[in-house]
Amino acid sequence: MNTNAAIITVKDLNVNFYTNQRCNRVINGVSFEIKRGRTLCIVGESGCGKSVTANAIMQLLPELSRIEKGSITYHGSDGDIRIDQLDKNGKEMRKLRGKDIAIIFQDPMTALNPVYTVGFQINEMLQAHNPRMSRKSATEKSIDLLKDMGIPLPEQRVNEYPHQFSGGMRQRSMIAMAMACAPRVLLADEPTTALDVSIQAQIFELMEELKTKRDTAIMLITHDMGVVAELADEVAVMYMGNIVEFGTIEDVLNSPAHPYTKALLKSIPVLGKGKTQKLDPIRGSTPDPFSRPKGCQFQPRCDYACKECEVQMPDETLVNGIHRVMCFNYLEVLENGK
Amino acid sequence: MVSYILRKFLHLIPMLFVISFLIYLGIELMPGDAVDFMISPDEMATVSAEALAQMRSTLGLDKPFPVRYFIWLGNLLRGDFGYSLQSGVAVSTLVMNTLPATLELSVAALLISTLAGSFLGVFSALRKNSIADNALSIAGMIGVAIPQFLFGLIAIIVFVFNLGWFPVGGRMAPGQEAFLQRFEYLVLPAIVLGLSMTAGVMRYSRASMLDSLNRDYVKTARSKGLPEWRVNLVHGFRVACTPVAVLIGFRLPMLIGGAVVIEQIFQWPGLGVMFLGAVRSQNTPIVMMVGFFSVLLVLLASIIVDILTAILDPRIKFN
Repeated sequence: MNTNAAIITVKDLNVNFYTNQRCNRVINGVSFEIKRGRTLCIVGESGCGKSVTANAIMQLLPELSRIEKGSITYHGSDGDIRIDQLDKNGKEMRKLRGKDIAIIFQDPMTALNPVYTVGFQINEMLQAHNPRMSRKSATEKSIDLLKDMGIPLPEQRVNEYPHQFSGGMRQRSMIAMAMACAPRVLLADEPTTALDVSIQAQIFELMEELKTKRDTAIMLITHDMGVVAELADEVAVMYMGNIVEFGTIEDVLNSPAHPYTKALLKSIPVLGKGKTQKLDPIRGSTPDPFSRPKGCQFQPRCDYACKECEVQMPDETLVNGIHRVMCFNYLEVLENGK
Repeated sequence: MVSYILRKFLHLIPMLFVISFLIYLGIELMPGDAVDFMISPDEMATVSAEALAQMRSTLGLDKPFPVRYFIWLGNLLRGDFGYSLQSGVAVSTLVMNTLPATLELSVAALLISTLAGSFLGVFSALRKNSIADNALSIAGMIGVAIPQFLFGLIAIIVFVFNLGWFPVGGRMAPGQEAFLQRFEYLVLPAIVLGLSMTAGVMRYSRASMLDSLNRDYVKTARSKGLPEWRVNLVHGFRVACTPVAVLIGFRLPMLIGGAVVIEQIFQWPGLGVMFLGAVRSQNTPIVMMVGFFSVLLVLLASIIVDILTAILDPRIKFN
């Protein structure tokens, strides 16, 4: 297997939510690959479908929502598995969860069960996938995992409850739990949003280590461009349920081809420019998903909008290499520079 | 933990003191006294004032109210619960004769409502918005809203007179004292007494379970590849059961209160029947004794609830 082999392929994924008798098309045809030993970052503002994409891969979508179209394929060691066709909480899906694909959630404060010790919760993961593992050896493994994640006094900590842990330690225990069965893919859904900056750096260091040492494929969801610049190999920019731009980190950061990406990059305050620096926010606000604009979803807020944009959503166009964009006027955007 | 429980028990003493005084005051404020009830109205006209005063002084009713209260309290501290004003039988004997029956009924109702209530609640939550869930919700509302005595009367008409499944009332047939033999007497009053609490526990555990199932840790559990029963019970229900346990603990005294009514309907020879008679005839020692025990029970229940929540939820510390 070559080193860039895709472990998960998502093709033309469509997810709909059916709430209050209305249909919200949350994801409209998203395609990407998660590759071994690489980090794919998904960026975008709240509500653009980042988390839904991750949950769709784990089949953890909420009630009243479903994968409408498209495919999610897991390239397992014994052949491909179509995740989207598996029974939601069936045996095969459960075998993949945790063992092959693991997920870390945004808020470590609520993601751990408050009434069980951290050790119990890691053991549960180990024993779910290794039924013959004894409780004692599972606990020993849990201690090792906590130690690997840099938690001091793991022998003592393993018997403590989540509320006795700090936020950063909880997230590290979550990662320890996620990595317990050495999964091939780690989905991280804004893993540091609830943590402070110094802890963020530690968590990302851990994830970098997993990528380089264990060759884990990582899909990192974030809305922090700084994190993207630091960690990503590939970047997908999402807006209103579409990947509007996709490319390597250099492609997206240095020569953004979509007006939205460009506007996002321009709206970031720069450290050192002082508090008088002028920020360039994106005008308008995210449209209501139930009354979407016609044509291109970004068109009402776009500086490059033309007549055609109001008629239909542009198709994906390949810029070069793997760099692709959904915009009619991408050449103009590219020409304008950064 | 031990010092915490000891401290809680020490807090009981002043509360018991104040509450027992209030009960005593309540009896005092009622018009008339025990002597008025011992003599029938017809005889009342013929009894001389001296004879009445004589009776009052033998029963100790001639002393002022605060003095009588402290005499009662002093006797209580020496372990003397007093004697019934009417029959002269020791109150402790009377209570010992009736308390087991009441406890049996209340414990049976408690078990029924806890088990059935939490089972139905969890079932309902897991099948949210199904026909079964809606039916249970309506049944729960009816169960909470309709008074127990009405259920009791309906149960007697349907199961005793129409279907003939259970005996009419009482606690046992003469000579049949083994638990299995008198079980059929217990079934109906226990179910009726437990019914409204079952409905309450069911509604509460459904809400608590739904809340728990929406939490992130349930999603984490699912993301580990655990089977659904484990996700729902080991993770969902384990967290949901803390507030339910608190509710049950605080409803415990209501169960004893309800028993008073149910005992009347099913002629269950318990504390309740004796208590009502004692209140009517102003039989102070009995009222005080039963009142005192009920208050003690309520206070103990709240201590038990505190200890239980601390055991169930590791985030809650003693003290």
